[in-house]
Amino acid sequence: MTIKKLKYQRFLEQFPNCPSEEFTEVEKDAYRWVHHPIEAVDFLPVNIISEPPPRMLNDSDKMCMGYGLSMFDTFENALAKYKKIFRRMRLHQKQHFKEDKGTYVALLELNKDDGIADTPKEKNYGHFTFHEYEDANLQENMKDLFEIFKDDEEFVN
Amino acid sequence: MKNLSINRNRKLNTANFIRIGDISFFEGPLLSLFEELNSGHLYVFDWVDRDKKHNKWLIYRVLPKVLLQYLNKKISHFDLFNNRAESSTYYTDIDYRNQAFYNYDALELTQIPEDYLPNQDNFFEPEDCPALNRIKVVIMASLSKQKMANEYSNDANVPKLILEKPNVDVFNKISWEESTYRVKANTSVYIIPTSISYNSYTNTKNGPINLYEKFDKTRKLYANQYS
Repeated sequence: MTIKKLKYQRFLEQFPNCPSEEFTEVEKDAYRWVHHPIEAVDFLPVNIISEPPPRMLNDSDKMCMGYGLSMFDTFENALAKYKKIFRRMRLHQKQHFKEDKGTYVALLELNKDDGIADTPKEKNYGHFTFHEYEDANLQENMKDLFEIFKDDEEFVN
Repeated sequence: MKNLSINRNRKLNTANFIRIGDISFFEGPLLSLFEELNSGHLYVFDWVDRDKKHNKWLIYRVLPKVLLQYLNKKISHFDLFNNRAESSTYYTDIDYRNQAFYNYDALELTQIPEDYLPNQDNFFEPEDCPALNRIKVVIMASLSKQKMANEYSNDANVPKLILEKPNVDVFNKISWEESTYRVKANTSVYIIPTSISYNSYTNTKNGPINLYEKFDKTRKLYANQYS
């Protein structure tokens, strides 16, 4: 049997029990915030993106989950979490958030060969973390794309 | 990022800040709580801006009772800021190298840009706070310390627990933050000689030791002597 290597293995190796045993291969639909058209950063973990740099205050922020991709179990949850964070931000941060995270939600079909995920957290809008396998290309798994905003400031619902 | 009016001569020393936990977190800290080791003062790092190479944080001191009101959703993020313990507000820019916060200058702002003020309708969200229990322990300890300070006024003779951040890793498999947290939380910490001292007392013993207990005993002795 071939042992599948995770895409950011060399970073994950720095952390104990990373990813934890809770992470398993999945076959399901998932939702992720993206730009339209898709940008290179859309499928990069936050700790890999250099511009802007990840928010860190000391080494304790160099966490395992920072090398995984944030996803949601439903479109409604992906939208609700986006709205919640967006509304809490200062005006200029809202613009940055749109630039950084995009203004669309992609529907992705996750397969066992793509990577491993933890369980969606009900208390956190069905958020889960996905660690890609080395050869995964999630952009190819994109089945649909939904807008987050009706116009510049108003959400779709 | 905004052009800031700053006072380069007024720096906040963050070398003895220990991180308690994040009050708000999504893909990294958004609002994070720190304690200044010797004064016990609480400070928050509030993420306010970024450009391609930096993240900008406001740093301000908060009163434990005000922070508790915020955690109990009695006041907003704006109120937490507005009722800060001192008018002095600092900022730090942490660059793409992401070294620890204490490696970057924290300078005083002479004017706070309006854009950096928190929203009036932002209230605490417990699900975004991964360290709520730990934060509450520290707030309670801080409130109790304040009460004690009121009881014994500011008499210079009252023993003080002074912790100095060591230059080397002197603790047994736990971080400096965890060690100091354990001391403050009145649980034992395993230390190597001369790593922690209070007043003239310096520990010279290997193995688990409860420093707070010793400190508290001295404090009570003092209190009895002068009551």
